[in-house]
Amino acid sequence: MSRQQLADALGVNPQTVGYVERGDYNPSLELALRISEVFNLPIEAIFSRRPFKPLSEELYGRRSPQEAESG
Amino acid sequence: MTLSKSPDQTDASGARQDSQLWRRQRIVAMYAGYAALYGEILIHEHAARSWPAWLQASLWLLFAVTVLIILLTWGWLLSGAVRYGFGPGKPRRTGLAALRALKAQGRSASEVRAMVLPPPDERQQAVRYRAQAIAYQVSAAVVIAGALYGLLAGFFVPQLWLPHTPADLVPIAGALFLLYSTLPFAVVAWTEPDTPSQDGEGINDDQ
Repeated sequence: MSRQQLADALGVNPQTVGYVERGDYNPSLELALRISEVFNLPIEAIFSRRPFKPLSEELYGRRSPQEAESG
Repeated sequence: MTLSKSPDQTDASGARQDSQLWRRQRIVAMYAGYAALYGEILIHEHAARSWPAWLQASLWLLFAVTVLIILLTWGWLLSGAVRYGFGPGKPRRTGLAALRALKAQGRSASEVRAMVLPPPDERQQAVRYRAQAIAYQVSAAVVIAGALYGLLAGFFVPQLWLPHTPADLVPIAGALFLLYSTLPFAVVAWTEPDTPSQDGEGINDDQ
């Protein structure tokens, strides 16, 4: 899904989607719920107060070689 | 708050067409240009009358370049491209046939306008309110400082300079016009982070 398509689905400016994606703008609860509806995912799967772990680590408990090296 | 995205998915920060630094440079150029213009006027009024003709012509050339810089940066600042939160951004492309079809459906002009130029979203409204609040605070500070200076110079310290002639008043009026016509836009353009790239990296469906 492109940024423009998501913006159209949410009824916001594409720039706003970009700012949310980058963490420069915290959306309102209303917008966050609309995003979770569009992706059909629970809100905690889309937003978190901490950076998300890589998908491989989430699913299989693996760490990337870079992370393993850094400890 | 972090939006879930793949760790491989990076921001395209290398190719910003409208970076914060670039915007700030132009805002500084506009206000510094006005200060330079005022200086040039003072030089012309008080010193340049005895200068040779070629030096006076150079001053006029500098004057013209400064005015051009001010006009260009002023126009840029008020244009829709940088009015984050103040305008709807790019209007949606609506062909003449589509507009005629909307008219045939009996849509009002305001409805058509809302479709072509969508209203600002929640982020844009938040940016607008914040910029207007900051602009109000700065404006109030300028007015209060000016009033206090006027009271001081008028009643208590007569040695202080007060504007009397049109040559004194015109630059002050110009500065106030420049300040009040640009302040909220300047606040937005100064504070907004780098604009996300328009094409954007897609958001993966498998997240």
